[in-house]
Amino acid sequence: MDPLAPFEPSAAEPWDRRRAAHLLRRAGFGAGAAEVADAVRAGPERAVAALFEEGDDPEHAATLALGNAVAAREDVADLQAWWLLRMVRAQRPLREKLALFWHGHFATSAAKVGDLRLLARQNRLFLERGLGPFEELLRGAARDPALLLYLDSNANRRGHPNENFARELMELFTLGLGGGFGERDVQEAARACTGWHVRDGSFRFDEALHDPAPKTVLGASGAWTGDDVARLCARRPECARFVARKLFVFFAREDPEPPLVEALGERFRAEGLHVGRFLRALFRARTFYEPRAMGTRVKGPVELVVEVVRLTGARPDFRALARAAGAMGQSLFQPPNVKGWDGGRRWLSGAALLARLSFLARLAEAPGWDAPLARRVDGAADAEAAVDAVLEATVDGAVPEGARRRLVELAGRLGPVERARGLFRALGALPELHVG
Amino acid sequence: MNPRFVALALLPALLAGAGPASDNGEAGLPGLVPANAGVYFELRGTGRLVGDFRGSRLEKRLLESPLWKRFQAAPEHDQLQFALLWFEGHFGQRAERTLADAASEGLALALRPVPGRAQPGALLLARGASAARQARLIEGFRKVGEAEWKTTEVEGLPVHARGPALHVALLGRTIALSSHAGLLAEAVRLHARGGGGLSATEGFRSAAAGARRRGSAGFAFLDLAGLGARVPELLPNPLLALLFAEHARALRAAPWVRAELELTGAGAVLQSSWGAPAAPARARDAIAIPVVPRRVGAAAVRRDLQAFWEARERLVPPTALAGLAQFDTTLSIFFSGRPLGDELLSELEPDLLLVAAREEQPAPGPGPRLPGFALVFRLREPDRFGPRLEVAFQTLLGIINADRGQKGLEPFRLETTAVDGLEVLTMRPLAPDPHPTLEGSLRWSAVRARDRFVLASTLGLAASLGTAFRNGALETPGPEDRLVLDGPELRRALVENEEQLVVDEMLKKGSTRAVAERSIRDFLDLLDLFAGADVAVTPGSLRLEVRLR
Repeated sequence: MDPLAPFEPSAAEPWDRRRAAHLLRRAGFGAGAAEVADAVRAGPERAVAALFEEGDDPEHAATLALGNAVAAREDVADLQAWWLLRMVRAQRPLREKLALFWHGHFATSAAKVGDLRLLARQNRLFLERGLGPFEELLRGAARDPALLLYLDSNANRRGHPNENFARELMELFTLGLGGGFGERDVQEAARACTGWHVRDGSFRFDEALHDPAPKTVLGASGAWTGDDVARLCARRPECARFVARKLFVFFAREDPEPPLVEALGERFRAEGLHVGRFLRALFRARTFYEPRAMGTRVKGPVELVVEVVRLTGARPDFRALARAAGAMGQSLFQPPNVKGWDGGRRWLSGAALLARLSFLARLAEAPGWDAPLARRVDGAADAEAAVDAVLEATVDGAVPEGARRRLVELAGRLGPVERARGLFRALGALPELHVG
Repeated sequence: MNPRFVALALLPALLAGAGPASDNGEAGLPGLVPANAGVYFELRGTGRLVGDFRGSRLEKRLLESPLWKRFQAAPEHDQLQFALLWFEGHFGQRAERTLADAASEGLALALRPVPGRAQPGALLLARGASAARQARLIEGFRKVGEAEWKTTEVEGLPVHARGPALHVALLGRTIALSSHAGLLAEAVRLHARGGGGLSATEGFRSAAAGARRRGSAGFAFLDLAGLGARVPELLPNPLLALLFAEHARALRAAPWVRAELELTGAGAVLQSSWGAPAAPARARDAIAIPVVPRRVGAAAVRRDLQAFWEARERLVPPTALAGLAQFDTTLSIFFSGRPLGDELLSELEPDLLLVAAREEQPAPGPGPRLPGFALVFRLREPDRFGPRLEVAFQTLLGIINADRGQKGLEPFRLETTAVDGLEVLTMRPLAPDPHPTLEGSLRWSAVRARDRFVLASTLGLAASLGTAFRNGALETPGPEDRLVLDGPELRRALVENEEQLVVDEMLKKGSTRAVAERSIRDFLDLLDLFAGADVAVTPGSLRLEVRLR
């Protein structure tokens, strides 16, 4: 049976709030009750199609256009806040979510690159090309000044090849470990990338420092350059499998079985390595709505903070928000190493859990605490209504009855003035908020 | 509705109505405030001043300002007009008049911390001429959401409440309104007892006794002891300790702070005094502040740096001492190993000056555009010590170049530029930087003029300060520590950074770009009404004068 066969609603498995909320959460950063209801009404086909619709989002465009002005402040916290603000404000969040995925895939850190303008430009590349053909994105990333500086490409010269960029191109960006390449391929690819440099913040192919002699990479021989190596890697079946698997793990679930990975790779190739078309098939697929895929994925820190702010309507200090995500283990533009963030269950270290618990408490204590959700809680008739308002808005109401009762007791004890803040603090302890 | 619009529309009405507090046999407004209220603010005698405002140049300017035009074009303006019309229909007279009547004999606000709450409890008292009219006003308000009001009794008087945070009672001719039920109940009890409360406390009596009760438009009292507003023994860093240790000492000894607001034809003057024994007056010369083109502001203080250095172990926290030792070591590099305290600081007079002025050159990029800023020292023996400072400046350049070299950046070269007969030392880049950074946009410069040594972040400011000191283009507003701000230049400096301010507003508040732009524009247009400000501080008091156009 085709694991990517479309999900067809039935009496036993209806297209309901739970499945619609799952789609909107994974393909974006959560959705309010009204958006979920719209998606239920639309049905799975049109709900998925709506995720890929392009349209005007002037506020998002206006914020994006500030990238250079933000980068010129030379403070990575501002750049982080700028991106978080875009994620929170995006009317069509799939592109931003993809940009977050590619940021982890082509991990590049401000700590080494230094020039934040280059990181802002890279971020724009992920946003604009992240949903299109992978080969085009790879070509853009392989000429991206921030990534090249991060991987020491300026030190890669004829006669003195530096293998960092070529190795990561194969191991982390396209083929993966065990993806059919050897040490010799890395050395030859490094020669092909000599002269692949950055000058004055721009990509420059320095012919004088390039090794023009023939190379053999992945069994193909020629006077290859960096572009050729990227193309040769992207067209290998291992690349389709590797990238499709990573997309599946990020959007659907961890640990896909080998036959499923094979099928995902096949489908990605069949779609011409077009990320958008592959994701459209994935979001429609039966496997995406399996019980083991729903409510089982640990939200990354950035996903968590963006989701909470979007759903509550809070207007926090976005630099504080960036710091909070950093304390939970995900500091944007500062991945821990070239592999990016491990993600999954690794998000839940002891310190990170404490940081998650204190995040909501701090959000509720912040001076700008005037979130529409807080106002709804304040206006609720009684403790039950207040709890339902919070749960409906943040975890789609999906918590065990015992947990809900405890929240109702808490809300009753708190009294109307402190109720919203208290419930928010307590929400941090609900697993449903962190796993979705 | 945007609360700023409501405040903008209604505050003048309240101000216009608030006349001198008249007791007429009732307890004065402070007598209705619980004794443990930490903050008390009263408006009075503003009717005449607001009358002066009507038809004045300032009013004309305000009405012509883009701020006012945007206010009139905003949807909130229509909502407000609708609310005012409703108000008028309901009370039978214009809303401004109704509100002015309600506070015609005094308007006071008291704040007190409430256990378990982040926000303090607030008590607003509005005293009018007629108890019957005040009662009608309360009844009118209670018709809004009639079913949600609940009435209880305290001391036989009705207290109305709507939700947990709005409580109202009529105390004689005074409407008492509070966000906290307990606070209002105490006000009612005080009214029943004929007053007392805050007005009977020793601190308030002492503060009020020294106030110019009839001449001021506003009076504020802050109970430092009651609020537990303890100023720390040691300020957290050496710079704060140098600037404010004396003020902090005075505040630590102060049981209260009193402030009075006086409105004048040209602006407003706020004067505060702290209830601490006044330090013996020391005869001090006025500090000279240079007049330079495009000056945004200047701060002048008089501090004996050598005495501070010798007393540093008593004045700064132990954790900061290591930093000071490092500073000592670093400076000794610039001055051929000479010790900071004995041989360097002793060369400086106590006058210290910080000046900021806008730059005229085009902005280097989309980043923040800093104004030029300069630190000015006065030398005891300029002919002897001045050349040593110039050599130290060259050493500084060498260190900056070494750092730039490590970062792969082009070095600066030292240059002497003759400006109006003065020799200004400055650093210039060897080649234009295609992507200037904030740090790289600084062009450190130094100049000696008479007994002053100027260290500036730009050549232009160093040159204009040197010229001002040489030619005596100085103003000497007084002997106090002083901060002078020039309104139009400050506004221009902010306009040059408007996009950065918008970015800041968006990142700090999560505003949309349109909202952030409007907010910054409102602020800039408001600033356009101000000609300047002058802050003078001596330990024990503060004087802030805001000059309006």
